Amino acid sequence: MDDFSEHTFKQWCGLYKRLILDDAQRLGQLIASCSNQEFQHYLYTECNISNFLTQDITTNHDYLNAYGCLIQLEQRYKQIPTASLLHGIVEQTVHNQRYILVKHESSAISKAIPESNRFKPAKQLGTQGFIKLCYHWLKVEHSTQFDCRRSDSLNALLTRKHINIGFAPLANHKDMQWQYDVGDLRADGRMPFWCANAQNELELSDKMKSALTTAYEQKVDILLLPELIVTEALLTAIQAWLRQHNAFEPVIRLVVAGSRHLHNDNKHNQFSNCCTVLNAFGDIEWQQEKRQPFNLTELEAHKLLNHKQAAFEPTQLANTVTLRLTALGLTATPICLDFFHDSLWQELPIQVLLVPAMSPNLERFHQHCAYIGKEHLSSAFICNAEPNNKDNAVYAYIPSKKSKQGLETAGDHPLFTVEIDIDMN
Amino acid sequence: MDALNYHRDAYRNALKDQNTTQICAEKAWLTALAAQALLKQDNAEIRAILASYADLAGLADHFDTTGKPGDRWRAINELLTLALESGKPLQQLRLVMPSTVSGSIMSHIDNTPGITPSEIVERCSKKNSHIANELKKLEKNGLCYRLKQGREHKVFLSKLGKDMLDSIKPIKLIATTPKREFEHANPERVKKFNNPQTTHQVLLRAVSNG
Repeated sequence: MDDFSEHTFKQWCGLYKRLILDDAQRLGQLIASCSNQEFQHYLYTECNISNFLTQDITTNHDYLNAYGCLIQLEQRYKQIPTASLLHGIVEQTVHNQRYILVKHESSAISKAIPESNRFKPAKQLGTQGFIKLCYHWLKVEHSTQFDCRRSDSLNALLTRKHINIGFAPLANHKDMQWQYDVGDLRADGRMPFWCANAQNELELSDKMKSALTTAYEQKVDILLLPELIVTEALLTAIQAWLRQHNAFEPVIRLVVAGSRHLHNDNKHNQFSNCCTVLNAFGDIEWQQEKRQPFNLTELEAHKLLNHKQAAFEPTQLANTVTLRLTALGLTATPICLDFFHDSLWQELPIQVLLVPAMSPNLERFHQHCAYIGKEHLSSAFICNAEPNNKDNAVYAYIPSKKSKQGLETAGDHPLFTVEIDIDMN
Repeated sequence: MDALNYHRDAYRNALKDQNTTQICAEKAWLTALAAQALLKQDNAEIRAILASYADLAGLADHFDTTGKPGDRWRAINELLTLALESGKPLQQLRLVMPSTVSGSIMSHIDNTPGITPSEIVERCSKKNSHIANELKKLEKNGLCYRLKQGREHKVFLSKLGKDMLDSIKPIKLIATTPKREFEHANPERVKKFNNPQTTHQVLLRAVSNG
């Protein structure tokens, strides 16, 4: 039986580093000038990776032979059903540097965009474009943990041609209760602040149920809520609603239930800003904690907390990046600032980003959407806690040249929707 | 696929009514169908089943009391996903059969490494879109490799493609006995010997004479 052992992965990573990360320019030039017969020969030739790793790759022949070897490795890997397709991420350490294996491929959303309107991803431009590899070894920090698994929650889309995404910016920061602790000033003179509850939880709960009902009627597949407008009780209410109204005839497949501050019981004034994603039955499909700190200036703190003292969000910054392989492609839910400040979210070829946000406007989000669209052909859907202004409340982006300012969303408060073409073949 | 959705809905209703007999019967039917799709290695069928079974694991977790909740459907989904995303030898073999369009494309690539899709269109006398679809299928199944050089896409056989083509090449029987020439033989006798009718008559006469 053909297998892919740890040793093979290590060799693959080592050869990729040597050939692509360290010397892609020369290889690209060689491929561009190689004759058809020669190139075919390199694709067939039995390769011995150990030789390339122990000896210097110097001649043109060596380069092209090693490249043929990389192609054969990734084509062999594609043929084998491996555990990493279901669970986990393949990682290797070479010369004390950590790498993970990532796949660059078109998502169901980008495939549905006509080729003339589709961006060319950065990896297909210039000399890089000649090195047509699907799998890449990506350098990552040693401390980051990856929680990567398959999620069947969007499998129902496999036979569909459209997906409906709903945004429910139900509340803003004024609808929430904020607390702070002036007795806990940290070294930089900032005090911790956090979201303790909703001003009127019952009213917000009713708004949520109304949004869920409208989403169900509008046949929304994925529903997004903003950052920090959900409490434990509201999350339980959403779960109960899904179980009661959605379980037997599921329409809503995923609810990105915004985010909430969860208190760390063991530590004084420590929280995590946690985004919970629920499936059609109200069960937790995955969770992502925020990875960037957030600070308030004296003026901002005065506006929000009515107390003039610089403040900070006392969250325990997460080491874990949660990724799910869904029918739409690699999907993640970075929270607000993480979307554009965390370098890892930028480097990973995540195909669908569902972002709960609490920001005065979405300008920075627009810019970053354009960046990830060109880099990885990613799509992004942002729901911001600004219910009174549609332009600042929702943003839907797909990597199409025609939707530079994002897609038009339809509907009215409490629900905006957007229908997007998908190609599952 | 109507039957598939019919049985999926029947399973859902049985869960709603807590009809244990019906639950077991429908579970068996749906499991057998998944096994059939795996054996056939048909992508479209596997995808349809995955879509149809999408909610069963979650539903069973909450309402199925006849076995380990949801685990059966999760296992089936995983098997189908692995089959969908990995190489399928039967499908690859179908694609390289010489009687198919994809098979003839493969032999053109084999004869002319680096052939362009438009050259293939010309040689196969098929529409652009048809060839583009077939090439996409071949590439997805790892049988060929497309490289962009300049403005052109060039198509090459992958190692797997080459191996597959080699595996279906017909076995040729080669006559190893060379034709012998007898310079000093009597031409009359050679003529009689080479004439099958005469040989047949001689043999018959020999048999009848005992």
